[in-house]
Amino acid sequence: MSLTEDEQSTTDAPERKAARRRAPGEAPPAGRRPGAERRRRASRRRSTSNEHGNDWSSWPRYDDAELGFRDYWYPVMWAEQVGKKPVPVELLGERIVLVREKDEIFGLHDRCPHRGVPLSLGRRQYEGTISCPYHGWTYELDSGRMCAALTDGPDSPINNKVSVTTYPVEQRLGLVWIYVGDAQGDDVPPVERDIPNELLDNDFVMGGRWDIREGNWRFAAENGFDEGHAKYLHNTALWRLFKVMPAWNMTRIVEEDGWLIRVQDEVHWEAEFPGLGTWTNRRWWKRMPLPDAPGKGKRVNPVIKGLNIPGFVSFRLPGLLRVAYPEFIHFEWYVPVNEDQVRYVQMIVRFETGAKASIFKAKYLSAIRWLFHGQFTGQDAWMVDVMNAPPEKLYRPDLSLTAIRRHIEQVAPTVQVDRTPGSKRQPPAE
Amino acid sequence: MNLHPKALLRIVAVLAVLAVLPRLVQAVLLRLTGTVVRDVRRQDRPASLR
Ligand code: FES
Ligand SMILES: [Fe+2]
Repeated sequence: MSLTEDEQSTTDAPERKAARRRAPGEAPPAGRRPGAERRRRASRRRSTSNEHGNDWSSWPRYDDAELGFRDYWYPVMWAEQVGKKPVPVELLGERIVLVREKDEIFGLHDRCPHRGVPLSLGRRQYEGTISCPYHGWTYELDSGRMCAALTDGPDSPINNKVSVTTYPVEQRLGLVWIYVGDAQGDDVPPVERDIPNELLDNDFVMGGRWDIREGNWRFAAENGFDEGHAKYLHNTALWRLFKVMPAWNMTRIVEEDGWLIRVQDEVHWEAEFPGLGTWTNRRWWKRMPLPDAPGKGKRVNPVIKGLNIPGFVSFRLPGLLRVAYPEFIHFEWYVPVNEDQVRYVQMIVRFETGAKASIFKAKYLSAIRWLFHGQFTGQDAWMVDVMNAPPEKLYRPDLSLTAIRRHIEQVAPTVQVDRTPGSKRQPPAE
Repeated sequence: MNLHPKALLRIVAVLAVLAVLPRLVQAVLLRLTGTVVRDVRRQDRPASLR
């Protein structure tokens, strides 16, 4: 089955409305702020004063990473969504067209060098190629080479002299992964480098969904790792109807194998605020939740126990959150689309097969998809859409946010720059 | 026991619906909301990552 993102995002009704998501990244650029205006906004933000909290100048690399980081593999959609019809994808501000040829999926820069028409509007005229809809320049899928300008005869002088950039594409876990970076051929890192080990080394059943959400990817990533928010924002989520959430925690961040992990040093279930009253999420109908780390539950899945994670929530580059519970793990990827939108890929994994796996699928489709991967993460989407920072005044739990920022300054990944063809700052590569 | 042809037809129809329903629901959910459920088998890792 093939599906353009256009169709997908206009039909994804309930949470879409809740989060006030607007035009999808892959739609014609009409609904988006033009590049120049977006850049102006960014530079205005940077030129504010240096007073603490007024800007992100303490984390210059992070501050520059509006479009994300190069040299990583990013999941973009389910493999079965790329059919015979070309599918446009916007990733780190780059426009890419995905094309399936039998079992393989190819990625090409979605712009015909002739006159700048998107190749994703083109036709599959000959096997192994895609033809631009305008004048029929025909490109080889594997090399990007323009092998025939159909409307200028077989010996057109321009044949084989033009090419479009190709992108490494892989299919893993049922997802399509695209590599954006400068490495080529054998130097491209294996996609497995950017997939958590537990998802490679085990059989599992999963349920997931992706959509395009409003807001910069960094807001989405910070929101996922944000220590303070769940206890208040998600307090009203149906997903937590029967589980108490803490009133407040004392938290510390530890780093293990490239993951930043939130470790709870203290968990407080209620607190007295003089003059206001008691603050608690406890209700008579709510169960007390888990102990403070996934491996400490009464019934723990052996794979999750083996991970030995000291806290529930972990983050790793380029933008992956892992929330581990005793019997399942929730993953979410924040994949930069452009400065203003993020591709949000969410997945729940149970390391089970057979009947238990079938029961999970039924549960996912009937409840989890709508409660957790619907209303609950829709609350996050809502905040990511409406928030506006910096300036900001951080409080104690925000050490989770600054941990991400500091980590990025340390690891120093390559910042993506605006590569919009025709942009004065960055001429097109081809 | 003598089964009326109509009753038999009804049973067959119900069974057929039950058989295709999960797939139908999944196809519609993927199409409309990008949702999938699936089994994933252990993956091979390239030698460089082992
Ligand atoms: S614009 Fe693509 S062939 Fe002319
Ligand atoms: Fe959240």
